[in-house]
Amino acid sequence: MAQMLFSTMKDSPLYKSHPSIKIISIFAINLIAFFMETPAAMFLLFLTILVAYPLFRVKITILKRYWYFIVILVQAVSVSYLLGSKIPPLNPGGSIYYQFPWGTFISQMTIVYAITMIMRFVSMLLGSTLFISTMDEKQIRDGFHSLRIPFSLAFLISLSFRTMFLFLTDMDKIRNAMTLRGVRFSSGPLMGRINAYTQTFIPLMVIGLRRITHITFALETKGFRSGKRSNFREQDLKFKKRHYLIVAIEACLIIAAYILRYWFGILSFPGWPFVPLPISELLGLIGTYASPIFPFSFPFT
Amino acid sequence: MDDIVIEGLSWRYKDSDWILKDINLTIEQGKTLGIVGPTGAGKTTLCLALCGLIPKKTWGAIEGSVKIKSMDTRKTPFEELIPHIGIVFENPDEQLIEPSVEDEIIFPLENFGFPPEEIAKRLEEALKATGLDKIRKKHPGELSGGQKQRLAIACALARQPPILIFDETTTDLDPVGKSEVFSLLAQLRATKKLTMIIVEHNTAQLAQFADELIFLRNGNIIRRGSPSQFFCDVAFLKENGVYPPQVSEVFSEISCTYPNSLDKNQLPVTLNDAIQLLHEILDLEEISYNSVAIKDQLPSTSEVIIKAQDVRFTYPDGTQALNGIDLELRKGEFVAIIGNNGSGKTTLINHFVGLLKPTEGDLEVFGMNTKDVSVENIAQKTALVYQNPDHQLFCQTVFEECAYELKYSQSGRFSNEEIEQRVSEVLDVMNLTRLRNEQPFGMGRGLRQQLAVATALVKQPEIIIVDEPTTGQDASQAHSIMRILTEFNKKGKTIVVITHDMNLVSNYIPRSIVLNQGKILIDSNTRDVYSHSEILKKASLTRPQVTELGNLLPHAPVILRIEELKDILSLKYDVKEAIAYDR
Amino acid sequence: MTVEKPEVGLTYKLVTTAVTAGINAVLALFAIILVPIPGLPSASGFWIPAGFYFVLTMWFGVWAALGALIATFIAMGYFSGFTLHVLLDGAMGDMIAPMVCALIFKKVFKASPLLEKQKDWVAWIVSVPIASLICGIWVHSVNLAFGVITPPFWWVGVVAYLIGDSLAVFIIGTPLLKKLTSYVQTSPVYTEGLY
Repeated sequence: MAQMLFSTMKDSPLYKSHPSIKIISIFAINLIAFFMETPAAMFLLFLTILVAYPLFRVKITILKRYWYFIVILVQAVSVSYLLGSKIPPLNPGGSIYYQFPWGTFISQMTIVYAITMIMRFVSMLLGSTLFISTMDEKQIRDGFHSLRIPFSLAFLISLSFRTMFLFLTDMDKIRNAMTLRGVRFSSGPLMGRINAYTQTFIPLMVIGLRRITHITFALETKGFRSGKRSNFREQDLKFKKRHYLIVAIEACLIIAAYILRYWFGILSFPGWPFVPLPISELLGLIGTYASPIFPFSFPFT
Repeated sequence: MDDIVIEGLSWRYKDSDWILKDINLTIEQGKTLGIVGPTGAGKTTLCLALCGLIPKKTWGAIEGSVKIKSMDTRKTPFEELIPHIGIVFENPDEQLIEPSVEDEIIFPLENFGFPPEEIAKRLEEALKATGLDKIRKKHPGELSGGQKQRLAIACALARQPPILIFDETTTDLDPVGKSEVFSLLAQLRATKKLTMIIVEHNTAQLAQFADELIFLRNGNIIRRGSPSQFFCDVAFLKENGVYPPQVSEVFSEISCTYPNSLDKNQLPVTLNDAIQLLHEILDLEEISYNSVAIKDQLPSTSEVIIKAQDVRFTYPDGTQALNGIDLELRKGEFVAIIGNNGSGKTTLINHFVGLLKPTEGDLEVFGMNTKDVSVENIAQKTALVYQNPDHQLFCQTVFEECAYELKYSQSGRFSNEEIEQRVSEVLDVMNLTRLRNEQPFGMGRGLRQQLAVATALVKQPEIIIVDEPTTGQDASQAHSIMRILTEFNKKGKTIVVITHDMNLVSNYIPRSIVLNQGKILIDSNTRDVYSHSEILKKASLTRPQVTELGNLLPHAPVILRIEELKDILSLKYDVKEAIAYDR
Repeated sequence: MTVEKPEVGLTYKLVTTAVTAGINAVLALFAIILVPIPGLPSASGFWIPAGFYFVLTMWFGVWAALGALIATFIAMGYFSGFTLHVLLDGAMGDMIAPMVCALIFKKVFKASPLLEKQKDWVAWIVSVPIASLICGIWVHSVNLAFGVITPPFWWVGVVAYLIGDSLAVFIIGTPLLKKLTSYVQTSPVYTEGLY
């Protein structure tokens, strides 16, 4: 089912690495990218991840699928920030390029901030894809299970992929069958087409409901959750010292990013003092320590 | 010792009638029990009760008891029952959930807590036993139907449970695939001494294999016996929707017509037995065939409505499904497209209805090149009935389902009265009138399939294409559908059927096209096709028993139907009876 | 003879989640391709899966809602990466919304999914927009926190979500609920409550 998502990069050295480490790494990169706001740091993160692709022999062409998303993201962020922000220039007296009648304006820092946000998302995207592309569904499942998530919950992932494949096939057949029965999907008024699609959902749902019973019976008769489970590949999935080291390094990086951003403001957007959002002021009512714990700096107040 | 003891078992699902009624059954250790019965008899329900899924995991009401290895299924936790039972269901797609063949076999072994060394050993054994060792790394989605079914069996086998249940596991397989599965089961029986319960519509295979058979009808066991005892009352079986092996039917009729010739209670049930008996009772050289009339339909000379010229088709993933198909279908023909799993049959019929367009070559339907017209245009004159009826039923009632196309897609063409008349006629023909206000998805599989056929017939298209009309149907329903299609064919409609059931082809369909690896191996009248056994073998097809028997008769024409063989054999018996009388 | 409900163990529930996830992932992929929204990445102007998972959650409770989370994560992730943002944004939102709807429908209004009485219809018409609104607030607050959008667009996003989700649920979910509830009630996994 990884073929549904990617071609799994089995040539990459990452393919053989421990799946739990890959899952933790995805999480770590996303968190670090979330904590960072400094353009320079964000750019460094972005570059680091980009360089990791050829380093780990993961084809950069797998990112082709995301071009559309990146274009839409650039558009969304640009529109949002250009029309709806009040990010002041870095230096007092710096130029504001355009002021809108409704009070928002465009300054040099607006553009820098927008670019930084785009880099944040692209870094998250690149980081996640780097690791996901070197995992098949079994590794994803084993990865979660090794992180002490119960096998039955981890198994949900691969079972979801499997049912997705079955339903994709079914959806195709249902559409074809209905086309042959005169249901029009691609012509006619919009409401007619929506109605046509709605009609495909009934057989899809009926098939789905039957499938719940059949798959459950199949799993039950294969002993799923019937007792203590062994693991055929437990040797491969044992954590070694280097795994703990990697996790420790990543944990330190996450904590460092958090502290640098929220306590020292080093990774905050340049020129901004730490400014709590109104919500953290509300939370500050709970206790004087609420605002350092729930900080969201925002250049809009 | 009895592995399974059932006493007074009755079961009904929530809000349904009683499906099983007062079943009493014992199955000895190491024996193989075959279960036959018409669709809706309760066979699958009985299998679920035998493995403990009923009542533990199913909503309903139960009376009586089922004991598996002396454990009462009502009182024993399911987790304690299931290590003793393996069950293989009909649809392998819903049983295969892992990303590779070997992972699939490992999965149940891990669930039952086998240590890694034991898992490794059993994995190899199961792969070898089912012939899957060369494709162990393949994804189950890439396997053929037969391979999937073998994989499902391997998963059950790997645990080595003492009791194995097979619920219609060969339905979707080509004839050779079916034989392979049964050969595997025979091997297992010989080497492992397992208790096996097999639900099967293919009585020919069961007859070879089972120690005992039971007949289930309306939830009751109405007949029980060894295969030779079981299949001797042919009329009774056929009345109740079960067709015995053809050899039994042939010799049963002979024993009725000539009571002194054969012991009615010792009829052959397997092909080998029949061949042996034939050699014993007949001097095969002396048979003369002159007065036996074997009539085949003359080739049609009407207009060509489907014309394929060097049609080739490659799927986006690179699979070449059709490799140069040339054929012509004429108006009013009745054609079977047969071949092994994966030969391109479904791909070809999808081309006929315009769902797929040739990658190379041309296909014309009613003179229109399918590349130039929309599916909707072609759909006005064609109807395709899918193998799985759930893919095409979406209305609230049976009546609405049949009326849908008449009302909406050809809107304005039919008045309400015309629609009512047409739908009522078709429902009557398909024996669905009593269900006209029922919800389709609540009906059994066999009835849903009949409804799907009805939706095709109601619009009276020029071409009706049916993909595997016999899946999920008992023999009697299958023959009923074929008779209905034959009636429509007589009215001038062109019928195209994809099927694995060679008996049905020989009984009803005058023209056969054999496909293998996307090519036509032979396209001729069915009798001619059946004379080419090597070609059929290449396409993983086997000939019906009557054809094989008829093949023993020197200089005989290819026999397609039981009546033909009976007529030929009767010639000899006339002579024998006369001699006996004179003496 | 009393009809006994079988032990509906975790397996049944997990499979319900997986099947829900499978159906919804397919529909979500479909919706994103079919009706994209310019300016809102990996979103759709007519969120077809909403119609399904609202109804499935009404029938199967939290297990179906969990399936919605997995489905949206897979579908949105396919187009925009399997990131923390996607998990917290659309995926969590699509789990929260149907749960809120089921909560209001079943616990506040005590209505029946068969939609036979006026009270049931009122409950449906009220609970769906409230749930969509809460979901919209969640999703766009996450977007705000991640820096995708700015506060003025927060309102735009919430309103768009309210309308898009509610429309899809009413158009697709209502006929599914009406036509199939009686059939689904025979399933052992059907729940009158939330789990």
